[in-house]
Amino acid sequence: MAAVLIADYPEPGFSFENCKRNASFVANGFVPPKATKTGTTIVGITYKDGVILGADTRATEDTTVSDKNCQKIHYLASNIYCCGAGTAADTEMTTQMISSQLELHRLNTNRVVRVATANQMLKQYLFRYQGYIGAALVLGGVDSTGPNLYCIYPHGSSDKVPYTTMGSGSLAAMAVFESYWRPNMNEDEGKKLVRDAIAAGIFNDLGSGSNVDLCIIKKGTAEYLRTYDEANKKGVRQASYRYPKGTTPILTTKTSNIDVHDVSITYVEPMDMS
Amino acid sequence: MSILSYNGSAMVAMKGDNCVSIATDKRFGIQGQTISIEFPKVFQMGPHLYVGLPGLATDTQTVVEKLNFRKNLYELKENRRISPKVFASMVSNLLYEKRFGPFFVEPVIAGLDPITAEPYVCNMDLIGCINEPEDFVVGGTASAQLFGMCEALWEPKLKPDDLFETTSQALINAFDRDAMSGWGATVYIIEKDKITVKDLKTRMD
Amino acid sequence: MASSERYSFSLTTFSPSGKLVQIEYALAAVAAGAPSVGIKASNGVVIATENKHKSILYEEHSVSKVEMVTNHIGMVYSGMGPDYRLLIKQARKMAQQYYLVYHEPIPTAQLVQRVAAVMQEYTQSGGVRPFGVSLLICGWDNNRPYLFQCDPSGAYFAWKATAMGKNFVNGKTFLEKRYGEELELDDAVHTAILTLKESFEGQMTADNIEVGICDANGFRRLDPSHVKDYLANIP
Repeated sequence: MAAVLIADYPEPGFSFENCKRNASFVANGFVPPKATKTGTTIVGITYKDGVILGADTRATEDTTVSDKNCQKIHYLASNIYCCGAGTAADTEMTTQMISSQLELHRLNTNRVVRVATANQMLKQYLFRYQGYIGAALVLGGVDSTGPNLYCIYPHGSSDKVPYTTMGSGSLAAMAVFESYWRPNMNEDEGKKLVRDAIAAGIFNDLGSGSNVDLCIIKKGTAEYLRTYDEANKKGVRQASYRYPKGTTPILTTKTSNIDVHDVSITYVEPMDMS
Repeated sequence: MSILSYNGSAMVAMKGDNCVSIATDKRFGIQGQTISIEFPKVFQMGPHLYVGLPGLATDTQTVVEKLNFRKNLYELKENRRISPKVFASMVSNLLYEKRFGPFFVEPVIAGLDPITAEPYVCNMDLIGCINEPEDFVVGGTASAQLFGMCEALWEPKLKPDDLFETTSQALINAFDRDAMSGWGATVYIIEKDKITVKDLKTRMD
Repeated sequence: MASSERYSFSLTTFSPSGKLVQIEYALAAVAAGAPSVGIKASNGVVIATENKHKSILYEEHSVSKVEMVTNHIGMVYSGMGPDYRLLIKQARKMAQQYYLVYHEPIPTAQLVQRVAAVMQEYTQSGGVRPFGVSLLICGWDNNRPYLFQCDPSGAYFAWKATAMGKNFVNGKTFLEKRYGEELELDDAVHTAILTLKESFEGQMTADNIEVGICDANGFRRLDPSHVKDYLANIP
């Protein structure tokens, strides 16, 4: 109806405009670069009063650590959180979009959304993209049915489980769970177990590293413990390697002043001082 | 060879004490052949906001046009300056739309919040995964070298003068070890009341 | 055929005097609807409306008229309920969409502009009729309250206080006398209820009015027990 107007929002859905061009690059031997991966150890357990989610905080681009402290536990609703492993942009965008849909669902139905709903929406979305959206998720929350924990695979399958691990560090973390997880643990035991599982990933898997984030969801409350444990303290630098002022040879300098008013900012033409 | 290193580039942005810096090399090449040494890769998006687009040069130019379009529309519609954070979301969104046929750029954003003047830097991968660290961000073919330089040189609370020196030396020493980038550099120091743009004298080989 | 009728069939035809009568009829539908009021206070904003039921058999509090759009924005209407529900759904969607793109809560003024654009579209498109509702949209952002009215034509206004629906003229006159810039939120709720009471037929209870407030903590609909407390202070 508003075709004559410029769209308020970009067209919904993905754009495949560049695909043909990009394929020709590949055909000519230029490999596409790798997107940021989370690498990742993510875990979740159910315990006496709810669920505890845990994650490391390393993001990698190939073998380079591109983010030393990234957030892998994503907010979905006030009673539901979700850990993401795989392609970092995919986990981020997918959880954001589902979070948005859950909020609409909550407002339109006047109910606290269920974890099963989030699970269903996520898996249907991922299944639609046949695994090309590389998001492996650990979904946890508490609703009217009690604590719920799911793990969702990139192709769209999911399991309802009492404890689970995902990501490249999942084997290390699962080893900890298989040894020490018991039904009906209390909160302190649960937190320690999750911390230990993530630490196992951080120290034994190269794709995982840095700190431990936790999220504890109980009936009525969710507690996000960002940097619950700094598993790797960075050494304090002994000397300053600061260069003395004037080290760098300068060809030209241009300074443009910006008039700063209380409310508005106006741009002033640059003044040449070369 | 990755398509991201077809033209070559090196870029870095750092947080300082009430200021931010963003610096770039100036080379435009087609693989080994240098075409231009005056190629802009950092663009002003507001009085206190800059975006750098290292990567495939054709996409650098396409993306900056698309970003200007969306940013201008936002500023007209809302009658206010875009904040660096909102701008970053906008860039991320633009890139993720092309998730399955991406633009080959890895944006670097540096700026001060138009209201609070808080320093902000971030970068993202080619499909828009934002990384917002407390210290510095890097991008381009020399990113591995830049990571090393910045980890050693960056300190918290650098004043504009020191921030310039730190940023410049990090960039110069990094791209001197990268054949694909270099050939001159430009450093932008963004403060609340002024922008200082300096062209650096570098090796031209 | 009377000349006014001749131009009232097609939505997209101006009458010789320059009117779009369908839009005026839509406004008439609004003016016949249940009254609603909105008042901006120094530390928040309140919206309120009548929610009277025709039969004692009706299940109260099952369908509400005061609704949340997003955390810091709420909405109420005068006019046709079904039309309102379409708009509230759209408004919520727009708020979410904005958040996804910019990672910042939508400014109230932006939401109003976009809802108004939808309403305008329905005055110029084929096969549709204008909305039979006027909206009151209240919000809190930028550290201050906002109150807007949105009409079927797509026109929107920013108010300090206003009334819509049945008896809106009296309501506005009442508010003009009562309104003060220094009004606090609690007093504003009181005044809003008093304004409704001006034209209220029968006994006003916590079950037949609805109140929503919006301040720095966001938007919320007051539950009946809370409304009852306010009613207790009304003569």
